[in-house]
Amino acid sequence: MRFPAVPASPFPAATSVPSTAAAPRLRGDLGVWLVILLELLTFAILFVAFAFARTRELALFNAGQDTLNRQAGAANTVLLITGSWCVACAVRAVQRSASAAGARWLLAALACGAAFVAVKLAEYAQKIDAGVDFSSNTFYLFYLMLTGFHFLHVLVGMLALAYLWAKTRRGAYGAHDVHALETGAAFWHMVDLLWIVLFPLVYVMR
Amino acid sequence: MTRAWLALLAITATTYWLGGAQLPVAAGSMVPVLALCALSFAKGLLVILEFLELRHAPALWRWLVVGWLALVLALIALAYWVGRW
Repeated sequence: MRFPAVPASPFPAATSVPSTAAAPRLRGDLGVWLVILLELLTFAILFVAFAFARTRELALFNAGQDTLNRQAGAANTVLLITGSWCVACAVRAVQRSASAAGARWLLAALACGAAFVAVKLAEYAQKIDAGVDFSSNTFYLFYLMLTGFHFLHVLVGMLALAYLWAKTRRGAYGAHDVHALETGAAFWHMVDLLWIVLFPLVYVMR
Repeated sequence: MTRAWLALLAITATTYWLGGAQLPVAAGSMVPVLALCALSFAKGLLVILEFLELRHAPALWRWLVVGWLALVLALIALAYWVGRW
């Protein structure tokens, strides 16, 4: 949330002492944060629905999980947390007005996102070859819905990062303005946070 | 920041290892599920506090997101417990 400018004080001398303690502040746009809360709730329903649906068809869900590529899932976890770290470093760099370094970190995050997409597409291709689709069974319905919905969020996050990278490279952001970058970063971290629950739930837990 | 990233990598490696490990616990034990939920919580907390910088945000926002993570993981653990009946 961008705070409104402090109105001019009738006592300029009294307000000229800068405050040393930073006030608590939500990084990024309030509207996007509300969207993030909505996304978290939507995924919460899907996660919990998966867990309870599994209790009715334990053998089916366990057999389905055995067909998933756990290495690919773990590799994608590493890619997303590394991408998230890169974006956090980009925000820190731009806060210091180091735009060139910030742009490089954003490019590294984009590379992580692209690698995630490549691994996920390879996984989907394997499943399609094996004849899996939404109507195969309850496990695959959930698998495709959960990972597919998350996949779309990765794509949207990458579009945002590409736009922010282009602007950061041109020096549009700096210590004076990191608002847009912090907003995009918050969305990207949410995508990471969702996968942190999704990977153990769908690929590992039984 | 880098320490948070390294911790996240280490926890991910542990999560992956738990998936293939034969733990010395009774069949049907809840220990692996609870361990995975705890690891997931630790990872989520690092992302929430360090990367999303909610550590420095108003407490309401911090607790909303941490509360979301705790509630989702608790409900997942409950479902896996029910599944063992």
